[in-house]
Amino acid sequence: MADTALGNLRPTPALPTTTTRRNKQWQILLVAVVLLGVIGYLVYNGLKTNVYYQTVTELQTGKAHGQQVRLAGHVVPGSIVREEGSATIRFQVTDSSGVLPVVYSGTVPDIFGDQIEVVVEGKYNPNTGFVADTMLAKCPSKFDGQTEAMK
Amino acid sequence: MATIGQIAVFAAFLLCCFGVWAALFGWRRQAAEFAVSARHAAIALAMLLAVASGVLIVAFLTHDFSVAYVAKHSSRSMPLIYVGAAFYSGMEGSLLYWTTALGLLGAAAVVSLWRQGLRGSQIANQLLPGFIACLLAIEGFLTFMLSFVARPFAASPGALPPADGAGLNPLLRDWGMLIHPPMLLAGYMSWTIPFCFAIAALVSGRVDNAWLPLVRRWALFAWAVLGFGNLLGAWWAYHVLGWGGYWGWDPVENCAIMPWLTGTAFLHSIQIQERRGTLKIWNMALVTLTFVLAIFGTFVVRSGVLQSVHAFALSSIGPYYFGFLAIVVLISIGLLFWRMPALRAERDLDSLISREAAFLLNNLLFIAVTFAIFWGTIFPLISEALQDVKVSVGAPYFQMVNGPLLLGIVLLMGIGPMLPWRRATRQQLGKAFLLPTLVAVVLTVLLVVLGLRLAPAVVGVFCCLFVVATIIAEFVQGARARRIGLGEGPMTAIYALLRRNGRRYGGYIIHLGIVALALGVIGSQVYQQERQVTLAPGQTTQIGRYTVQLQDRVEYVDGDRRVDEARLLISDGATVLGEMRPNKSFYKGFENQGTTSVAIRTTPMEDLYIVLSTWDSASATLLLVVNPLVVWLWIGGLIVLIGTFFTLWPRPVAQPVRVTAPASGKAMAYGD
Repeated sequence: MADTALGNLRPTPALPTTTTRRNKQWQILLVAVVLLGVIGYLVYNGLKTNVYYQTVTELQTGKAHGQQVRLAGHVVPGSIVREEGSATIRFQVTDSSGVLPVVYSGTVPDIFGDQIEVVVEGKYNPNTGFVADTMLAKCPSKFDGQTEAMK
Repeated sequence: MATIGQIAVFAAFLLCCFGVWAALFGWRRQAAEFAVSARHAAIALAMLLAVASGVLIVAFLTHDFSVAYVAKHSSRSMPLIYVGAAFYSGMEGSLLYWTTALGLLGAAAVVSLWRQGLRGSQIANQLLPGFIACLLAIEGFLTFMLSFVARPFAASPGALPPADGAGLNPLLRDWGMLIHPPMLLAGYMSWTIPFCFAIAALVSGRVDNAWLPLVRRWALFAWAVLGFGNLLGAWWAYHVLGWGGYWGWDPVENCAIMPWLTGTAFLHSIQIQERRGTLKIWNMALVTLTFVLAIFGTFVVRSGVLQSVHAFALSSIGPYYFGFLAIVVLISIGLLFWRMPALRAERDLDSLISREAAFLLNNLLFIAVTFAIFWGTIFPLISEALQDVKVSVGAPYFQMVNGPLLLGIVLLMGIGPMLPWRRATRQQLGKAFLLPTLVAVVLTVLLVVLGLRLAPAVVGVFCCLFVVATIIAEFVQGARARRIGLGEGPMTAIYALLRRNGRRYGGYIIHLGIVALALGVIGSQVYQQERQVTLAPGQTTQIGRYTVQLQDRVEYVDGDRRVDEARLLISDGATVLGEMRPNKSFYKGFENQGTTSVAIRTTPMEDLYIVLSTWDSASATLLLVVNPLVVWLWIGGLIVLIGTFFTLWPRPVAQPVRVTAPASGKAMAYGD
């Protein structure tokens, strides 16, 4: 594609010698290589910021302790406790197999509540539970009959 | 009643099938009567779809819950305006909206082409059959979906219609929600027209530069609508959702911005083809890619293949869209190969220091950004499929990758338009760039002295200042030429530049708007401050230069909602700036779900953004954010719209000039 995009090899009236033409092709190639290198580096570097999704069971049995991970699950009904005088809440998250305590301090999405599906991001420690620094929630909505989620 | 809608949609499908056949058959046989009936089919299609949409809107307004879609998306207690909006809030309705809007816009394009043909435009006559065939084929797919797969007129289950509908979530009861989804969908939809032009050019074999002046307006229109839709989405997220930001790099947002990026690249690269006769294949590929990404965006929103906070209902339309996309791509590639010999470039690139080279680099950067966003968006799918590892690619990835690339694009905005075509000499470079560079360097140094220290901000601000300086230089130069030549004052001269050479100077205005947008992004990304505090009445806290005191907590009832409201006194040192009232509403029927209402104090320099997070017996927890320069995002968007308006405004026809008449005399005739 690059070849056709940059022109073709037919002679054009205003062109000097073949050497300058070959020179120019090298220049174009150089620009292309540099550009590709920069993009490749940026993407490669950027993808290091990925965060892994883990289930409750994977966290409890796995080795992802102390690592930034995402955890998805449902809020156990009746488990939400708000600390008086602060924005900290404690609740439990479950997938079908296990239950995990979560501590979160921050803005809670409007639709957060019992049985809501939440995605929390943070670190897991076997002693203190899951300490979350971000929370997203999916809400049962009338928007499209089933689910619509909001930050 | 719903039966009429059902029939209209199915008739529209049959009409599309007939129209495609008539257009192609008429073209092969050179049979004029078939061309006429194909054209009429395109117009009748728009009417049928308008009837179908009208039926659905009436069903909503009369609370006809025997239609399942109406029962699912509205209720008797909803305000009327939201009942109307419910029309496009679900999958089936939004599909009908998309199809109808495309029908109307397509009919307008067909009529416009036909009339240009009557006035003797050969290219318009040659493009018309292919255009109609492509438009009606796409509409055929959509009306097929509406007739058999995603049926907006399907009846409610059960023998009797439900007494009341399910209603709309209070989160969506906001005027931003009324206009941002339809605007975004209209933006996706509008890119169909440039794509049809490209296919028509390929089918007819007229792949020289003649189709570009015809497609330019439609592409600019689609670009502006899609861009505006994106910006409205950001505005809504910022003012309503209450998380302190305007862009979250969520898959749905990514899919909305990708066609806009490739569309921007297309608008630039067609200028090179017009001037230099190169990049023909590239332009065909870009407009196809833009259309495919627009369909992909609609598909992602509705199919649930990607994890998104916008997770809409999973639906059955996914495989159909996927098949449709595959067919579009295959046919486009096939046509490209068929016409390959005619698509050869007319000449070579002369020099790397030329306007076309700068535009080409701009194109490559746009494609790079699009690719980076696409990769980040689908990476979770790939990772899960190949390695069985679920990952989430978040905002840090997109910021790290796109930040430098977007800055490169901003910088090129200052360089490209200043360079001459073909090749630039050293003198030309000095003349064009010496002064703007000097101005930008001096101002940047000044800002650094004043306290602008963070590297990304310094580089970004320098790029922005440089672009502004080059644009001002262009306007000054143009206005001076008119003053010397025609004796016009500066304001008259600038207006005349915009009016008579709107393509160029309107483009500069758009660039200025983009710079304002870029400054807003840089300010809010680099210098955002955020704090979460819990205050008892009477207590104060500090953020940035602001002192925030919780004066009182109030609970009151307003119509169908109960409101918890924090009354805050904002001061800067000893100066009282005013009161802010963030609150949370609890609507009837949704008592467990609070709806946050953000309080924002906007100044040109920064926004103070306060959200009431939680509330307990003795205190209120607040999220406080200081967002520098955010208002320039919205101002920048408006400037872009104004600039687009000038680029679209037809040039006044040159009139026989009397020596005494002012050069900017009111020309009444239109033409281009």
